Amino acid sequence: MKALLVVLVKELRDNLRDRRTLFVAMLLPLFTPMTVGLVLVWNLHEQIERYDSPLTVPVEGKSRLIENALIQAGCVLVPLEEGQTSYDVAVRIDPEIEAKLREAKPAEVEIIFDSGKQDSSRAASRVRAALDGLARTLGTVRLIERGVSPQILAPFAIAEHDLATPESRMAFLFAGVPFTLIMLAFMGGLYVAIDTTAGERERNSFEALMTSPVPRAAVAFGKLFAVTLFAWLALVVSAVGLVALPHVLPERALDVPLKLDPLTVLASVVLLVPLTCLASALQTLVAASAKGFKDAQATLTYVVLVPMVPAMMQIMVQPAPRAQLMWIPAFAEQIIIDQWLRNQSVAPGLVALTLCSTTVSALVLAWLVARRYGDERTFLP
Amino acid sequence: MITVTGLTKSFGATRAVADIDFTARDGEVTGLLGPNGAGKTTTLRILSTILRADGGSAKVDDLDCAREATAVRRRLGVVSAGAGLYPRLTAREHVFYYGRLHGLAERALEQRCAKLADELQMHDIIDRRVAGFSQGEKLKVNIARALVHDPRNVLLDEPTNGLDVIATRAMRGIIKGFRDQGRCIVVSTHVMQEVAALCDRIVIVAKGRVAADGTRDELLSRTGSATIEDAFVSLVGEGT
Repeated sequence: MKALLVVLVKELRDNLRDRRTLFVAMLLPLFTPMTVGLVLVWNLHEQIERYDSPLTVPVEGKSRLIENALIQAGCVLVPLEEGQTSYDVAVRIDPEIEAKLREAKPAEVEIIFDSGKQDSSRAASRVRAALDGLARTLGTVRLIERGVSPQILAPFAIAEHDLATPESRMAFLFAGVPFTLIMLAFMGGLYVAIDTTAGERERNSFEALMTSPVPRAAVAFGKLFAVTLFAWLALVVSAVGLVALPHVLPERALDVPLKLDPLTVLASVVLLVPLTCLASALQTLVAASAKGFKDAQATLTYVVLVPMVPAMMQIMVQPAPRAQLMWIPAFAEQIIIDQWLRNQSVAPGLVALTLCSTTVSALVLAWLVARRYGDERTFLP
Repeated sequence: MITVTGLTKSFGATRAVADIDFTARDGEVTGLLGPNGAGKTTTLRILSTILRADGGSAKVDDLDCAREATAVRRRLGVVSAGAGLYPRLTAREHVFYYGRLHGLAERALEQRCAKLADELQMHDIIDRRVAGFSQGEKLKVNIARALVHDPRNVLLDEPTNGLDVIATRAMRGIIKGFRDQGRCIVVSTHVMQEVAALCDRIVIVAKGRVAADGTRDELLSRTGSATIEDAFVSLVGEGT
């Protein structure tokens, strides 16, 4: 146990002096909270743009009714110049619209926009909504004038209840937060895993280490814990960033159904502890079999891709938590964190199943690492 | 004392050590002299418990290297010229790391580190990170970490490889110092001058076997040669 600690402390000290390791463990994890923050600010900006900010609309032709409707919807009307194209949306009004309206003849109002541009489409739908509203009001007035109930035009009422409305905009966040956290569990200790095994062999320092009178398993586990601690450090940095978000973002930006309170974030990081052990053991095992630093780096790039496959499945299929799925490491953790972020609870039994399954897998891999350290091929140049 | 009897070791179809016997006594420098690939490094790796022999026995102070590996490691210091260091750690941190692995207490470790820094004249480099050290400086760190637990037996594999003349002379001085302290020293080398200048007993190894074993004068008189180089060639043959 003492030897294990000696190896662990040495590896921590040694790797904390490595800029690459520090970058992966301390800076890369900030990517998650920064991306979440950017998406939230962008979302807020988009909402303000959509509903609150004034929209300049060049108009050709005159109609007091239509102009009033647009002004009420927050549009600033300017005359449409000949050949002008620099606008998100423009409106061309039938020159005889006033006369046609009086005679109850169909008149045309043209909305000019570019559906290839997001800003233009968004502005056009804002103008369309204002004009639709006016058209509906005018139609209703006409029917009432003729003694017809306006209800006759509405055989049934369509009530829209769009379940996806706020969530769909947040889909990126729900998919992104658990995904990047799981990637961090696999990325955080990557360089340490390479440095402590393949690096040690490439430097020719393994042999000297193995002539010290400590059990080889103690050396293996000391190194393994160092890798795990770096992976976990990456997760903690990311978690602190996520919890700090409400303090640095504008208040309204967090008016979204994404649960990012300290308890949820802490629970997620604790849930990922066995997964960081599993990832570290897997990486150490692969790095111990590699010929050198570069070989290990190349092979481990593919190992990092392993959790991406179930993660992509989770994002596409969005399965509900159930026992048949929760024994799959990484996949299960992602499902649970996704649920927690949506403020939905997951049965404690399923969380326990996930923790047990990942822990058992991590222990099996750790045992394989210890066995690998008993093999002379691991440390001979 | 180190005793090797009937040692054999193969890697796949390659027979690295075919049959090696020798004894290295305390207070003597025993040289394993042989061409590259003769089996010297493999023999030292079996003695240092890194490799397990296929047959025969290797003993350090009567402890079996295979069955009592941990006890053997406590009595053995292994210095290999090719052994790497940790570039981001200082010389002192290397000595302390190995000292702690040997279970030394912090106070004893500090005293031991100061003594090694004296003996190896490394006070000016002791608190520098080893990245950028010269070959000679690296070798000193290597020796200091191998001797931190004050072992009675010291194995040195090609200890002067890559050293300049001054560093080589210093290294020989250090090895003679170990001998005068009564330690059992085994030096593996393919450099004839090294053997002539340093070793009390010479074991000539070729193709995994001992070709001859004796003092310098015994080998010279047995072969009727004037120099160790001539004696070596006449014992192992030109084609080796």
